[in-house]
Amino acid sequence: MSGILASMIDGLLIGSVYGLAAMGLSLIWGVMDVINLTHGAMIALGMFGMYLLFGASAANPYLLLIPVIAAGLVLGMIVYWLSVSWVIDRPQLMSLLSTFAVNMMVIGIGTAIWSTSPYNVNFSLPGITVGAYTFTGNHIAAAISAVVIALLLELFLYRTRAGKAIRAVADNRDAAELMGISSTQVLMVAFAIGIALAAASGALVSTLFPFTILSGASYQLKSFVVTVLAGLGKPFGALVAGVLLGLLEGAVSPFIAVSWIPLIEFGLFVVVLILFPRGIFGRATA
Amino acid sequence: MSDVALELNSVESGYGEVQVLWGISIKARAGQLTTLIGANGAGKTTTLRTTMGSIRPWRGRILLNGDDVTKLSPHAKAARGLVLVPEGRQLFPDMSVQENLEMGAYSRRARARQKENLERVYQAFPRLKERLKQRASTLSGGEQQMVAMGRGLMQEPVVLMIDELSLGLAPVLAQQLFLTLKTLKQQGITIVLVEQNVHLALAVSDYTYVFAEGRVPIEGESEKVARMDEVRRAYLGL
Repeated sequence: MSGILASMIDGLLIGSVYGLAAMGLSLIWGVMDVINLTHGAMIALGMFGMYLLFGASAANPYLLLIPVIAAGLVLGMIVYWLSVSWVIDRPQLMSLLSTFAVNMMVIGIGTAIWSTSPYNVNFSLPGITVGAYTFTGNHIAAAISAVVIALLLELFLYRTRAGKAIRAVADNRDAAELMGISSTQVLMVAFAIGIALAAASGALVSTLFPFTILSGASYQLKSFVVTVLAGLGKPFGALVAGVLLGLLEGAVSPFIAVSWIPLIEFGLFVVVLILFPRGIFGRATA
Repeated sequence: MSDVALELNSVESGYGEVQVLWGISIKARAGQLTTLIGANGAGKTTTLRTTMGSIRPWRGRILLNGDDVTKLSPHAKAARGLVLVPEGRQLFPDMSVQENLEMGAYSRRARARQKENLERVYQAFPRLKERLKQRASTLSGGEQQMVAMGRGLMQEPVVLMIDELSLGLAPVLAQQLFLTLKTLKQQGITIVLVEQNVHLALAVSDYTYVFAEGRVPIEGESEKVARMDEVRRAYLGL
């Protein structure tokens, strides 16, 4: 019994990282109605960004999150201008295709540089032992980092002028323009933040598990599940839903082979889509 | 320096291939209330949206306090004090009333006078003070119109353009809003009003343009326009 509990706690810790990844996807969707298919590639770049920075500096990886996020912001702006700004008001298929193209390019270049063999960030914090179970320090630190970043985003969106401008554009882009808000600028910033969140979550994952350039894909899929659970365009709901997904994984993983977990997750995805098309945290009316 | 705050000079525009405005020339004098009346589809709303830049002007010039702003984007015009309270309110539905008002004070010049303008909004619409924390989408239609007006005032307008002030509002509330307009005018704000209630529009305004099929065949001081036979027949039902 306590084994399940331990597994669930671990799932909760990892789930907050899923949640952070999903926040990025959700923010971009909510502000500009773009389904960002570069998401997985950006998560993978976050992993390798952390790998390179850690290799170069041997600093604490949780401090290295700061340069990873900064690089993610810059990269996000570049990706925005390259692949999204052109198709922002076009049918959604266009942005799906253009972001997918960037995804393929990043994966291709990444494979050329790093091949598809696994890498890891060789760092471990002391864990906490409770009875027969030890929670690794990295899992705890990653969860705390994810929650801190999520809270900072929430503060930014609800307490700062720039953050409120992002919410205003998400709410009613034409009206935001009438207020003197440059919506093109805001879209770029929101996209950059979404990418930075993806990169940050990838960087956190890299401190937990070995990874390859292709690892982003499975986290992208989890992000979709989490985003749908939370309701599209609700960043903070995404964090909570991520934690829920982690809890679920933790609860079932002692009983079944790991390879069955995606089946359960996507079963949940379908059930939620049918029962709560607006997400668990979605409102009844728009 | 002229006393014309906003001037449209032979402006043409439309949607896609369809031309709606066929050479609109309008002058809104500083500190006056100018009203645009006319049948549905005559181009009043299109004129305001073109002035704001939400629709690109095809031809003609738009001058704000003598500066050519024809090609500026809506946010750049808003930052200069050209303010549109759009048709259908266009609030930020998921944001609170307070945040909606705050967004009005987004531009630098509006932020400098945020406190004074907030006082002005509370004075004009005391009811909003009780609704500050409420989400805008949960307000009644009248309250939403107050937020839209309040948000416009927070923008520290040089020229305040209002599209359909009284549409869908109870008559008492419409009257109250028109009184508010008078006060604003006394405070020196130039107002351009599109209004379907022609009686009220002619009664409160200084100058009137009558729209028909994307042109302005009739214009004049509102008192005179109100006495014109064709206006009385077509718009006042007399």
